Amino acid sequence: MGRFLGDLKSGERVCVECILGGGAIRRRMMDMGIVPGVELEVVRCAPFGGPLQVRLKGYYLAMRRGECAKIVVSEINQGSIDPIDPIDPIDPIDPIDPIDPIDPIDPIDNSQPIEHPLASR
Amino acid sequence: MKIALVGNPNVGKSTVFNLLTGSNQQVGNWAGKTVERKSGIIQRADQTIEIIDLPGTYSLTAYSQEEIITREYILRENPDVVMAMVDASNIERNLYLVLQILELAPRVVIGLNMMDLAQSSGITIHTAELALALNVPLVEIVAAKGKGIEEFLTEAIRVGILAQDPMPGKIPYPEELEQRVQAMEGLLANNTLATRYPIRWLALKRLERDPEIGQEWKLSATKPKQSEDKNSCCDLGDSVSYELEKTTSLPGEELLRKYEAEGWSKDHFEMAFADARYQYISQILPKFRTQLNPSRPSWTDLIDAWALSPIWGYPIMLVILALVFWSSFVASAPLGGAISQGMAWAAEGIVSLLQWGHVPTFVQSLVRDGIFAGVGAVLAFVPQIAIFFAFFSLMQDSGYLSRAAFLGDRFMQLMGLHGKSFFSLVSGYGCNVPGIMATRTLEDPKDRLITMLINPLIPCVPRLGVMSAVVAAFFPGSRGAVVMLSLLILSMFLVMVSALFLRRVVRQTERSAFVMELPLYHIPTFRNVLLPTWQKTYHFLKRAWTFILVASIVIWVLSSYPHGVPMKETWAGQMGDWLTIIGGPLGFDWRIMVSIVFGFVAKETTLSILGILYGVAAGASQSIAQAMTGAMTPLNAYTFLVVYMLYIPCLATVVTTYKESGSVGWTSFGVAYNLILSFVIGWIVFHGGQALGFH
Repeated sequence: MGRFLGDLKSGERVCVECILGGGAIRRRMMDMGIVPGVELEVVRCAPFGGPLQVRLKGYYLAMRRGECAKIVVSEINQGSIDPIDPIDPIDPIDPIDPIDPIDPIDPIDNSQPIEHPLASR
Repeated sequence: MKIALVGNPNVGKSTVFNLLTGSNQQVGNWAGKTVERKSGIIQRADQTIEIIDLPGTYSLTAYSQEEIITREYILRENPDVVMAMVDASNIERNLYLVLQILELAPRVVIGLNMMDLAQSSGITIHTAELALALNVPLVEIVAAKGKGIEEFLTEAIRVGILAQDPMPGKIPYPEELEQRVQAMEGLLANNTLATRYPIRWLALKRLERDPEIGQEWKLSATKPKQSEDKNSCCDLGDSVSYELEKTTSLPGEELLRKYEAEGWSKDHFEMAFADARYQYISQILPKFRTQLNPSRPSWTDLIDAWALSPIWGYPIMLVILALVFWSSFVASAPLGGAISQGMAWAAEGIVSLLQWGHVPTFVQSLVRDGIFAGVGAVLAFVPQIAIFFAFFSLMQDSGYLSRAAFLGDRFMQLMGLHGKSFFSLVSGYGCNVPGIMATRTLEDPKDRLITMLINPLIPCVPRLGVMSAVVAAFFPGSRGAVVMLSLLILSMFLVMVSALFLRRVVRQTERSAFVMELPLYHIPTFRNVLLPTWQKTYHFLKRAWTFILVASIVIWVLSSYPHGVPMKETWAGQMGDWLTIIGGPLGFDWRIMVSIVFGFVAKETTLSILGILYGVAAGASQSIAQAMTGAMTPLNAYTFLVVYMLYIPCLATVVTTYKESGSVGWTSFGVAYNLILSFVIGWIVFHGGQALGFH
């Protein structure tokens, strides 16, 4: 399940899958220690859509969202949690639900199943 | 013996260098680059050792100027030993650089620094195991306290005089990569280059299609002279430049094409090598590092929680910048005043000596009104610049500067610039000279050039002083604040537009990546702040004094001849008359044009020049401005303020731009851009104002 580093919120910890694009930017990131397999934590985001502060291996980097959008990340596998666990019985019903005009909570519900199984670890 | 000091930025390299060489340093620039080149000659154990402090770098690829310099130095000058500084708290990325160096130059000694920082975040490095894992000698040092530095050097000398190159551990590449490397090694084995460089390194670079492999360079300039002078601490040093001697084509072209067909392009190889190096590091890491989860957050976390907080970050930055500005440009005023006073006294003293010797009066006048007045006006702001440099070093060393870049990056993004430009531009409000010099922290040369060229549009403290005096005379009361604010907003707007415009002019197609390290905070040593401050101030004076002297004399000549005529008929007055062709459409008379021309030396002198031109005794700025109110309408004055704010700040700025950009072309472009922009905007303001019914 690939997400981009640029989409993360502060406090999230992820693992770098790969870096899209090439050339100078990619090389630069590798020099700075952003390589596949490395663990990152988004410490905070500067206000007004400014850069992200990222912690990795005990040091901090500042990166713009534009550059972060090139880094594909995945959740850190904790191992102890059963991968079957997140699949909720509610899940399969959801895609049908949104058509239902009665359910006003839907927009929220709709977005959650995408993140929920991953975020809950 | 030649020893090179290499390491990541912020690893404590310059601390070690300063401790080893003391005041025995030569500071200059790398040929054709605006990166500082520091070297020092020391004597140890019957050996004369030249130590070079190579710029802080993360890798030996050719991304930034720093990397290129480090690589070129090791490649072309073959240092006998490389002293590699490693930050224990951040060992993986530091070792990445060390591995690259080891492939190129096997005589390496590692200096492991910042063990205390590592320990406080729960990391323990077992040094013996680390040395064993890499098979490289290692010395533990505490640079900030000066511990272990001599041992570090002794070990480096020992490695330097070894009869045979040591055999450091080889990086195991994955099988499919290793095969290709070995195939290339086989092709290169009989090449003459293989006698000069490690064969494996040659093979790797050949696979990466590194253009420099196969080129032979020789030193074209004289080596830095080993000055016997005790005070050689700030010798500029001869710049060393290289000349391409010959290019040998290397074998393996066919093989490379074959690999490319298999999908192994040069990019692919680069990535694979980088990946393999990190893999290797993480493989050997458990052998020498034990990590506990830190029980409490580090100092850096605690400070950043405030300094980078979305709510408090900006107010804190404002307070820090205000403090820096106040100390540099307000609190230092008495010092500057003392210098002017001292210059005035010195002038009087010399003039009375000249009188005693019956030297003609024009010489006396030249000395007093030309040389001493002109040079004194510029010298008076040297304390400001020096104090500002000290704060700059302090902020850079402590780690706050990159935080300011982090906070300011959002605004710089609007202009297509880098967060690090932010500090340079903000510095401009104090003085444009350090503002332009602060562009050195930028990695991308084009970003650096743009930031340098737009910096003069930011009004510095002396300009703001003159502007507020004029504003107060023409727009009394609260109207003055509105006028001043409108001027500042205009300058910000033009800075932004110019940055976007200049990006097209310098043809910056690829925006530089904003991946910046936010180093851990630490308290800089006294020496690390004061030494660069002294060096920068000294360099500024050294590079600027001739220009300032000549300009002072020229202006004196223009305003004093033909002898004994009123101001309007001097050469300067006549020049002002011609210049009303340009100034006329903006409503400027000859006096304003003369003051604009003379303000070029140092803009703070504008008020006193206007005072002379309007026939007011110098000294009371208020009365000068009031004398102007009789001769000008408020619209005239506003137009003058706009032009005054925007045209070339001063000679020192132009000289600094030239030295920092290294290009006459770009410097003249900057000057022309400023002049044209200021007059065009002035014209728009004047005629727009008239059309709107102002007067």
